Amino acid sequence: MKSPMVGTVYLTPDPEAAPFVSIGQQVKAGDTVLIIEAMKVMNPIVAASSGTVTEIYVESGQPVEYDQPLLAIA
Amino acid sequence: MTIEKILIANRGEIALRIHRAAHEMGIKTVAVHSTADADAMHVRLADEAICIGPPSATDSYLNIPAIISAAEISHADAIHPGYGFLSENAQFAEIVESHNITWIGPKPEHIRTMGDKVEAKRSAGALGLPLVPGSDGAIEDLDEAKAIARDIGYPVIIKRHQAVAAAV
Repeated sequence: MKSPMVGTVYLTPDPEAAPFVSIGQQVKAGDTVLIIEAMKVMNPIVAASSGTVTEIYVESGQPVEYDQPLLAIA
Repeated sequence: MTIEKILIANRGEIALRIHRAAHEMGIKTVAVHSTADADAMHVRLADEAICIGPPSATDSYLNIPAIISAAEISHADAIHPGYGFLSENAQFAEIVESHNITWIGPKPEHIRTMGDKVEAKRSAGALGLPLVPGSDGAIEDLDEAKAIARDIGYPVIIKRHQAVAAAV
């Protein structure tokens, strides 16, 4: 999955919470897998397909650009 | 306020010109680009580069939220729009200023005034600036255009009253 926008990525719903997904986890299409903040708006990013999270390429708080790989679902 | 880092909201030779001027002044540059321009010269020479969208200019070089976000994540303190694209977009200029980012360009109200050529000519005339001969305002039809052209003499240029962003 690649980033649909420019912003700051967050892997957790809030700073204290557990991450949305971790490697090895099963996800369904439509599940929120991370958040990208752009212009103070938190945009939930959902899984495009169902499967297992095999890689997470970004860290919480990291800036991301358009088309940057976020995570892999196989 | 001193500018330390400029985001250049453009591409091609325009972006390069701004980049070179910035470097001469000791200012860092941030290039923005579409996926199609990832290897472009303006991207390679800039201190930082951020991909802001797919190849279509509407979704990248004209994508205001993506450009503002790019300025935020790169901590750019100014945006230079170059020419074409968003350079004559008064709303973009306002959004940039409302994010406490320095807008390197005319004030939004000046863009609005000068963007309408009829209004621009009227304003310039009212300020006593010299104008080339032409119609007093908008012309309605071809006959009127012919009459005025006969009066002032050829060659003449007929222009649309609104500025159109030269987004190529």
